[in-house]
Amino acid sequence: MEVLKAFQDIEVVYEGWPPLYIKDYTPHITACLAAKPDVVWSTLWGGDLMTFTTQAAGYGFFKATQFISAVGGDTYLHMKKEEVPEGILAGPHNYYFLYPPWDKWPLNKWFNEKYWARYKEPPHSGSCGAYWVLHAYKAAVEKACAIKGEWAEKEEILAALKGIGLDEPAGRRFLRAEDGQAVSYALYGFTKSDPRYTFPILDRMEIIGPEECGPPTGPIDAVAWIRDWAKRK
Amino acid sequence: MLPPDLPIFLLNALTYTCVYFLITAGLSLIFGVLGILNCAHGALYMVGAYVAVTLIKLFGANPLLQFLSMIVAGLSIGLIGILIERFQLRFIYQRQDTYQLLLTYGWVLVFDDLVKLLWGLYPQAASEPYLWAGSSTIVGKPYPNYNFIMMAGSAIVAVLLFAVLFRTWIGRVIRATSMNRELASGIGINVNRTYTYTFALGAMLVGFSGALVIPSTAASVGMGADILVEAFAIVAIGGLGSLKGAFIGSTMAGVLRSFGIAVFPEIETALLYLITAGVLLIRPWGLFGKRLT
Repeated sequence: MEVLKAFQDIEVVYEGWPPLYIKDYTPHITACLAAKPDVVWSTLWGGDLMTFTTQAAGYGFFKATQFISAVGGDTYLHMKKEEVPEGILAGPHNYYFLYPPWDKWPLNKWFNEKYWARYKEPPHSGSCGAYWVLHAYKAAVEKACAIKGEWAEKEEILAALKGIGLDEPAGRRFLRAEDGQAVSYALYGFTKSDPRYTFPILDRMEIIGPEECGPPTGPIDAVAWIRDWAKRK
Repeated sequence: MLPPDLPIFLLNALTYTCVYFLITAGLSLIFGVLGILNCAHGALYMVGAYVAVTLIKLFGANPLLQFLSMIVAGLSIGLIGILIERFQLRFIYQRQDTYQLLLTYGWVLVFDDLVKLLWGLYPQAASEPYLWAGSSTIVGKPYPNYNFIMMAGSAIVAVLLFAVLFRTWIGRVIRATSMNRELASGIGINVNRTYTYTFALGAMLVGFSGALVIPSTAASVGMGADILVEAFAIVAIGGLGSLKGAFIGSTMAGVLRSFGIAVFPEIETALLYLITAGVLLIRPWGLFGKRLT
């Protein structure tokens, strides 16, 4: 909440803290709507977000306010487009299957074709993350063994991992040499119904580059770091 | 300081009351007649929900069949109840209370794992009826019609329950057995079979309520435990064995759940249990329970 106060023109009218995995959000939905918010920010994810979206739609929640879902980009891939109202601002963890566009980034096209053929559903952040992790490990092992000339120890593979950068379906991701923090971009868009898919897709996508949203090196004061964004804007 | 959209909060309170009543009526009935505190009640609720999810998904776009599926789900839990009572509970009536606790809790564990085995670990949703029902406008705001369906469904079942208990022969037999088991047996009532019917009835009620809530929430493995604790609190307030008590307790819980977050957000989760503690301190047998001698 201190973070939000850094943005002077925001007034917090409602805070809701439903317990994890609770199955009924209607008390929060009705209490939140009664506070008449312009924008609602939520970190609900997975099954909780699915339940919340279904229940809130019945109360006209998404027509009354602008809903921002921090991680809805991944969750909404598993819902039907009839269940998810259009215009929800959502972002995936760090990969959205339609970005980079398949004609511009062949690796994403290849990944999607293989994934759809095997699982009959779109790849999500976890899928791309799994791809990157396995290939990064492979690259680190190859690099460490090439340096050593024989099978490398765990510490040598770890050292080879630092600073490693790889192409992945999402673009390019690398591990910072200083602290091993993975760095990639952030993406968000507005939910929209599309005749090509059974689930809602993200439209009007915008990308925030890693230099803007990646955490600084060293110990971070999260509140101060986010306040810094407010000053930048 | 009441919330501005009072009618919406009241409608929500009514919806919760109806669902809570179905759950706690079964629990109270089972205790009143069999003397068993059914710790597996929440698990039966959960299984009813999962069975309903499967059946609803089977009948893709046909709302009538989907609603019939919920009734069928409830009946199937009644069948499970018959099996549990006849082949397990019957052997422990004469034993200490700890045995019934162990046995019914054992069923909780069995059902939890069965559900994971048959339906997997992730929550299962079947929101087709909820979406089909749409919304209407109350005080200028949209309100989900499915809540009205839940209220109507619960009301119909409650009326049927009272009709069975107070207007039929089997209902008289059940009430007689709850009042005095020995006397009932003495006048020729088959007490064993009565116990089976009653347990099945209680199981059907809770299975149907699990099925009824499914379109608006999702079936998940923890849902039984959540509802069981609340159900115990409600019957503790109302008095074990009393249907009137179950209704009053359900009303309290429904109102608290609907208004709690708006009016008392900091202690909202604890409110019901604070009231339960208060009632137990002042009147341990509950508001409408039988005073223990």
